[in-house]
Amino acid sequence: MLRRAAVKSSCVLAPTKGRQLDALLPVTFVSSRGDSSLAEKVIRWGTKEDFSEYDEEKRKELEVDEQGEPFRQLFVKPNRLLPTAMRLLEKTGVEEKKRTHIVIDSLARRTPRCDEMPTDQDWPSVWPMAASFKAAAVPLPIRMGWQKKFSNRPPPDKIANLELVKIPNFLHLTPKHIERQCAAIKKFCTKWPEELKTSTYWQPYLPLTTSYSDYVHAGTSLRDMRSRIVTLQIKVSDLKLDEHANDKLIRLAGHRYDETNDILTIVTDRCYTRQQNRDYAVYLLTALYRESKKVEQWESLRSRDDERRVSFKGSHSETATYDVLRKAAAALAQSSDGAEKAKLDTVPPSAKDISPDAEVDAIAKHPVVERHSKAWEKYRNKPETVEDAREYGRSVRDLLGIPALQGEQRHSPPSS
Amino acid sequence: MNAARRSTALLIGASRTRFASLRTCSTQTLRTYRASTNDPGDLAISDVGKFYEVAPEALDHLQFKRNLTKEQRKQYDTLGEYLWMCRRPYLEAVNCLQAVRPSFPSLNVVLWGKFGTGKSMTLFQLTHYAYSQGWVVLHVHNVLKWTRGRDEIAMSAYKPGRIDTPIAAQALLSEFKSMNTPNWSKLSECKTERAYEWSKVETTAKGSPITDIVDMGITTPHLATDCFGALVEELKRHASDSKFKLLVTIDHGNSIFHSTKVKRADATYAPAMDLSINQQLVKFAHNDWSNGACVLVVDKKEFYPSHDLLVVPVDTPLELLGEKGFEVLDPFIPIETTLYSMDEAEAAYSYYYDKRWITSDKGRSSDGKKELLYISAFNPYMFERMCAIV
Repeated sequence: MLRRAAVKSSCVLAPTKGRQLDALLPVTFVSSRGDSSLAEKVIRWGTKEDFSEYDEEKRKELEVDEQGEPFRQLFVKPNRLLPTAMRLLEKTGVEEKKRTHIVIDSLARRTPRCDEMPTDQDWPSVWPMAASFKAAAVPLPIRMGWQKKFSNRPPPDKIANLELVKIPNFLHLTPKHIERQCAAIKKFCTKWPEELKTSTYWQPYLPLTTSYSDYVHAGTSLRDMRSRIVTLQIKVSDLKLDEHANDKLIRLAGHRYDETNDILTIVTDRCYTRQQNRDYAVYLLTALYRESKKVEQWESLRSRDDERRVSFKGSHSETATYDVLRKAAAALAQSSDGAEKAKLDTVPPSAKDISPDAEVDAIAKHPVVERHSKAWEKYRNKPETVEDAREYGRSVRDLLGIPALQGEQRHSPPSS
Repeated sequence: MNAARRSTALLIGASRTRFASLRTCSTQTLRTYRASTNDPGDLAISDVGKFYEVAPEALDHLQFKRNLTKEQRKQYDTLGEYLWMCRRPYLEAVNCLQAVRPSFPSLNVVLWGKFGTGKSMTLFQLTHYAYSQGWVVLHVHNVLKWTRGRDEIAMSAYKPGRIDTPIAAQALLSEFKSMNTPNWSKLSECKTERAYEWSKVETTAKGSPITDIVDMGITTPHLATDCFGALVEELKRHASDSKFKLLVTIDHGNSIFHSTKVKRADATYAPAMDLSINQQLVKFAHNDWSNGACVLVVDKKEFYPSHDLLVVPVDTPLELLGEKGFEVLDPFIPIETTLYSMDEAEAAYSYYYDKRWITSDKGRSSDGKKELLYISAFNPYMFERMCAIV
């Protein structure tokens, strides 16, 4: 038999068409929410009474509308308790907490291999060959990939990580692997020749050096545009050109030529592939070589000002220096009194050895003059520094026979 | 009671010694920072870092009051005396000048160094030395005056294509006259080699004293450049004949070889060698004469404001002279001017301290001294300026 809870209420409901049964009820419900089947159910659950028959009748009643057509319920969600409701019931002690974690099931599952690997294991035995990434076999705490923005979660771990599987790994090429492979091959190899350890032996036979780079990527693409760049290097002296061709090649090369080590460097990257760039670099070298051997008509207009280096010979300084020395020599020859001879310490040392009518070659051979001409060329042809200027000053003083003051000249400010 | 008396006694004693030390410091420093002599020719290595006094008469003749910088003039006017520090570059240059003699071709000396290290000052000192030794002195104060200036110019009648600078030449000649006042009679004894026809009206006869050329140039500006050119030739000739020793000093000398702001008729700027005055000055650098020296100062003012250290970090002679200038002057002796050494800086500080050029208490303390030395980075110009402000 149906039993109803006696619930007092202040609100009286107007009997509706479908609710004839309610008119028989001695009780009224709490509010208009009492109409809803869910609320009724919740209340009923609280009382722990079995109303399955009533539910059935209620269900039938609700399933047929005023026109007598069945009410097709819209499926919103399965008829089960929401986790919120379940948690409430668990917390209030109405329902008992479900044990979701079944220990036996967990025990039945084996721990992954990587957790039981000793740190001093033989890795080449574990990963002997190239293989796709196996999370359980790799004892590294690797993470790869991206999470959604603002999720504040770390990158996904290695377990079931497709990104790690997709990319190439080099776990089969660790130093130990290489060592063993080399050891295995070693018996088939001879010793690296001593002569080839430096470039001095093979440089004359292999003067041209071609270099390019390969790039390793761990991304969606393995390609790198920088690998197309080709660098060609050759020592210009190895090209065995004559003086004119050598000078012309250096001028044509421009910034590609390094004076300090006589190396011509051609870097090409204008083509798409490495092969094309290498061919282009070789073409450039050939063009330079051929052009430098040609002698154009206008090259006959070359003058002293066009030279790459200034030489002391033929310079205005040379004439001036020799004039000074000749005049000093003439004056010395003419002077017969002791006063002049006594001033020998401030006379150009070379003046004592030169005759006033000496030829240019004779003066040039004098050691002091030779030293000065070398110092002059060094001063004029190098980028000037403070030290070079001082060095040059010393050379001129030696030439003219005017010694510097005694004592040290301090060049830097006091530090203490 | 005893303790109080003892402590006050200590205090008084301490202050007494402090003042005593100040007093002794003053007289001591006076003794330590003055050179052994005021004669520029007698200064020796032991006098490096010490001050020597310049006679007012010399200064009047050499027109230093006009040629010194504004700051130097202020200092000298305030302190009432002209003390110059004897430094190593000066002695090195004097050593070179001592080699000047009739049998030795003319000497070229180039003074180079950082800004504010005493290039122009050394030049003044050398002019003063030559003056005191009875040499004939030609001091060119500033080449930039006519290369950068926009004074009147005239096209040269003597050499077509050259540009005359009458005002500059006239100023040079009047300065020459003033500087060589003691030697004027000696110069009057030197006679011209040939007759000069300056224009249809003005002439100078052969065998007339060369001082007439100077006077001609001073009185008639439009002939001044030609007169200066003639004077250059005559001076070289007479110096070689052992009549006198000649010192030519040119400040901002590297500007002779570069560019100018003088506009030609076709609205382009003339190169410096197109100015006849520069051509004439450069003749002193040639070694076709003897018994004289040509001292140049090379600095960055030609290219940039000289104190702008960031733009042109080079102070070396080849860079500043350029290839053409180098070829003209070679072989020359480059003399470097340097920053103060500790002794020199201390001497300078003592001088400024004694003369109350440093007025504030902070500046006059030992900590203040250290700060001044290091903040100025031992740069003589900067040090003087800081002492003036402090």
